[in-house]
Amino acid sequence: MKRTFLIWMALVVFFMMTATTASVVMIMNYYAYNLEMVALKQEMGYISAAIDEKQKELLVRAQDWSIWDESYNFMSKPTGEYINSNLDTNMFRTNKINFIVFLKNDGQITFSRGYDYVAGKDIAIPSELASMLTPRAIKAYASSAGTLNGIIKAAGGSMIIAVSPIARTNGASDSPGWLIFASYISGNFLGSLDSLKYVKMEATDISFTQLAQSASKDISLKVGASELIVPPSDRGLVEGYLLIRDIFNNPVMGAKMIFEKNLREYINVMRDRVVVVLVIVTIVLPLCVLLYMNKVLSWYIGH
Amino acid sequence: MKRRIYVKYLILLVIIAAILAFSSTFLLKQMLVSLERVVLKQQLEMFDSLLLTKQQDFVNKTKDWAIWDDMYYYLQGKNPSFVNNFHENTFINVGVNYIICLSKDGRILTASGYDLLSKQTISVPNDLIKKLSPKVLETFADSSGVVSGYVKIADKVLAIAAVPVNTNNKRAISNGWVVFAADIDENYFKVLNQIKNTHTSLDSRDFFDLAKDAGISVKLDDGTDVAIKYNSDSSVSGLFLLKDISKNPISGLRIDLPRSVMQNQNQYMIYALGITLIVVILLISGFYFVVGNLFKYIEE
Repeated sequence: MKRTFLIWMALVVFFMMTATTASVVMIMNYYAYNLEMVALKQEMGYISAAIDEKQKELLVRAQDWSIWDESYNFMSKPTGEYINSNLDTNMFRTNKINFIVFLKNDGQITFSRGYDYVAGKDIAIPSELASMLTPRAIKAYASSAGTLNGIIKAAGGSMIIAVSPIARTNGASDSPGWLIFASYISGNFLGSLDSLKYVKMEATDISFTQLAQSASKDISLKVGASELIVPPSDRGLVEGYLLIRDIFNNPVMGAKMIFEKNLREYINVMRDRVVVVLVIVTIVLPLCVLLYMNKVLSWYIGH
Repeated sequence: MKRRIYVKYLILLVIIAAILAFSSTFLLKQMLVSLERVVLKQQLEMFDSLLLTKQQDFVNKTKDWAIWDDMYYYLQGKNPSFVNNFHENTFINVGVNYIICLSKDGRILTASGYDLLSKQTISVPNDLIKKLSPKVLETFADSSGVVSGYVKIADKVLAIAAVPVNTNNKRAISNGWVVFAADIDENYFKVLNQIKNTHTSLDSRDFFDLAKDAGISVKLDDGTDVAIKYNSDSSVSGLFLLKDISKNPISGLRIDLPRSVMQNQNQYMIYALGITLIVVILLISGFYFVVGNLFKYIEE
């Protein structure tokens, strides 16, 4: 009978310890998930900042070119000298742009050129660039400074654009039109963000509907104006789609991001260590209780 | 006698409970501390990347001016009207405070400055010009001849980029440099400071003060050492050391970050202790049930 009760007692302690271990594992899995989301949100902040920085940088370049006497004069009197001296292929390479368009106030294009500076060949101007960026649309969506900066979707892929009113170097006189710089996102823009540690970015044609469907099943994060959809993954990598909106605030594309993170893996290692410790405690404690009770019961029965 | 045995069991249970509470919270805390270090390092790596990208963009901006026929002939003295380009609007549009055009033999052709905040023309500090001699630029240039980094002038830190001037087709022999310099101030960090709950600023203390003040340091993948200072349960600072173009430390750069892991530690600890408490209550109930029945059986 004494042995039966000792076994009972040991079983009670064992089950309680097992329950503790299981609870700790559950809590840690919950932490792992939460911490990963917290870290993802913070990294989203860096990616959004990097994208903003890139967009603003393109606008700075466009402004540098548009507020310039020679560009101003070129609008009224296009000359081969300006083109030869300024609009050669090096200009595209240095500024990392694919298209330059001089657009008049009446919607006519004074000059345009497309160049793929990676492949080293001229490319056609996408029709969307002219159809979307009409004087009316530019005026409607321009900032207070008259500039427009963001993303549009074209047949060849989404592109980042910067539109700046053309003016004299001293800023005087009315603007005869706009200078448009545009750069495809896929090859150049996202590639330049690869310098961000732990993140690889690639453009994806996933549609907004697909993204929304994916979001309903998975996790959707909102950080400022940026939205990220993260399908669950157990591969030590976290993949997400950053939803990118165009200048008209319509969703145009998903930028697939692969966070090369070892956070979840790290948490799993930590969790396994905790489990090992608790398992040892689970075995040792019932043994101690067993030995202690054996002694106490022997003493009690003896009296 | 029964009472003494109950007391003994109670003491035993309290010991078990203490072991459980201690082990679960201790292990959890250790795990959170390690995790925080990992998360912090990842954030600092991304911040470091952003800084490098920003500096690279600054170099590209300078290249746009340096690799240009008009600039090349200006340095040769064949394009005097080019000087009209150094209008205050240029500084505003390009986002720089100083533009210096320097010939190969060290002649300064242009040294213009503009304060983007007060919107006033300013003179280029002599110290800046002294630091940018052809000898210095040639010594610290990278393989493409570009010098990029920071300089300290009086109490200000400037980001600079010096690019050798060449023709559009890059086939000429460079005849000088174009140097762009921008104050590192709140405006410089504007986009970085849009990152939620973070703030970037210069820290004027020298490296030894930085290291002394910070508790620990983290080595980033590119070998950069970042001192870490825990400000509170919810805030931590990473302290980068900015070096000038000759690799001498000139200032600290501080980024304040939220302690995303540790600021929730109280919540995690409460969960862990709550579970421990429930387990202990179950243990006590189980023991009293078993021990009570045990006495009953023995007495029978």
